[in-house]
Amino acid sequence: MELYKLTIHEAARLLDRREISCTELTESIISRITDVEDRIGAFITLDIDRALAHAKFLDKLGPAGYEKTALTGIPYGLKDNICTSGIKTTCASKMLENYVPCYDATVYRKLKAVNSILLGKLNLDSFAIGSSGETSYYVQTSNPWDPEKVPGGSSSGSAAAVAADEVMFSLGTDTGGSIRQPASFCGIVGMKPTYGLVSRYGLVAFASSLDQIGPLTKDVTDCALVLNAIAGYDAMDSTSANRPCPDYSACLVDDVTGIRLALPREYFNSCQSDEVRSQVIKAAQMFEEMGAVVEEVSLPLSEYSVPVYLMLSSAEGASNLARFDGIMYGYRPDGANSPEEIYKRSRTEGFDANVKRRIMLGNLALDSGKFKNYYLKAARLRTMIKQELDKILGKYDIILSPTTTETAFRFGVIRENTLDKYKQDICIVPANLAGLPAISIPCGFDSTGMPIGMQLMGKAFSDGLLLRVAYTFEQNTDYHIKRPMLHRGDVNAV
Amino acid sequence: MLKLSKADIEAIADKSRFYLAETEKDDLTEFLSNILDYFDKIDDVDTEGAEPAAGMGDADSVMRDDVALPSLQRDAILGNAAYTKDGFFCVPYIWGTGK
Repeated sequence: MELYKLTIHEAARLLDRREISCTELTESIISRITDVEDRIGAFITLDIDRALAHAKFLDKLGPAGYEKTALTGIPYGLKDNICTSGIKTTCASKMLENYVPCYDATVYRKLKAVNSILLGKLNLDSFAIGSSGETSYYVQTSNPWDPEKVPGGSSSGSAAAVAADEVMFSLGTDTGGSIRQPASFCGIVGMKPTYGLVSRYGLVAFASSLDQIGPLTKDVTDCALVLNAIAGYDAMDSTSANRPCPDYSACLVDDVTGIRLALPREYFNSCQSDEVRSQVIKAAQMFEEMGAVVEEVSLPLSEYSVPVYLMLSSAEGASNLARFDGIMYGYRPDGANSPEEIYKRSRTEGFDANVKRRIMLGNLALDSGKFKNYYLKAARLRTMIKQELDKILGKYDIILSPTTTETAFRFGVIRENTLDKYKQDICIVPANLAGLPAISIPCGFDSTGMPIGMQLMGKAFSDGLLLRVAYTFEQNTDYHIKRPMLHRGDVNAV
Repeated sequence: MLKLSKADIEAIADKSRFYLAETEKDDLTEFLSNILDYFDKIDDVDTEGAEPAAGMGDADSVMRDDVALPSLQRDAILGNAAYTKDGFFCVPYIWGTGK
């Protein structure tokens, strides 16, 4: 049996019955990484020895020696902007090439507490700013379905590693679609939980009012298991929601009877690919046949969500990234003769062109002469966009749409200094602007064999309902079972 | 016509603490001018009366009791700095000259 192919819930069952050991499972994953990582390029830091030692330690302790949860003994990866004490956290940048955090992000602390096995740190667009995965300082991650295509971003490695069976799950971060878009491009499940549901403590911040950590998994059942492990109040994050979390696994009910689904015509009209549009409409029809109420709606402010997102995320990013000055941590050039020169040379040499563009845009929006026309106007419009979404979600349970307006594209087709790449984010940025939960699940393939993703977005803290509706779709389709052909042992391919 | 001049770009670069090559200045003048053109579309919307959003969380103002809690280890923090001495971060002289 090729254990690396298992989902978390399948592996947990076998571990529970002691039919397999943690070591066997981890060794299978390591052997998979050895076979395919050259082609995928998902990892920045890979610590096989540590992972194996952890697995052997658990086996030696035996099940009586630790608290057992569904994630115990399960090998996984973390996006490399999530702090891990004693393990480099680079943000895929030259700036943090040698940065070793001295504390753990809360999500990592929680996964350590249940003895999940960390395999390594996964690639991303530098500082999580980007949507193709092409701006990493270290490695180019390829889409497992087609090596000539991008995996999406910014959680490029987190998505590709799950799709290629190199990890059993991963965590990514989503500021404007950075979990959902690569999940869609790579044919897996990716979820941005409600803002405040998962602690951001220890995440290297890009845009604090938009950032959220979330799971990337092989199926919806796994997504619920990971969310159970990472959700919950944390005093170390001042925006953490202090309210009880349900058992998300208990939300997985195969029934959508009476669930009201809204299809915004602006999201569908933005599709560049007819195949994406028609496949998501087909999914909506399936929901209708299963007893859901499906209706078309209009969200007229949708066309403003991308410019508003661009302005606000850049302003917050410019402010957050001001901390990188070469003094306390991060890249510092030799031979600088004044603090000012250290600041400027560290930032000039340590940040890539893409990050610099966004910092420049952010500082332009925050400039005192332009603040009112740009930042303030965008912040007011953000309120209006949230109100418009809340109003629709007062009448409907879920907004259903494509995740992306097209499937994964080829490397190099998007010029970083143009606006084209931002305009494709129309379906995904509203969830961040309004703090809403949203999940992307596989719902088909285009004629070139690339995965198509469908997005479900709900009211704040209706994460359980999203999982239920996604689960129902998954129980009645087999798109999530299909895996890319990467190795001679892969027989699951379409 | 571009909305920003090269002088505008130089001023923002200075504020952002960047040195820019001439080609970067040209690239950024075009990129940021295009973004501002794109952003002009929001002028169509009347936003008067809408409160500016500051965040999306439940929390408003978070306070905790003023008691000392365990902190991070000094040496571990200093371990990430390029230059340290006697438990301090080091920078070149701010006034005058010296090492």
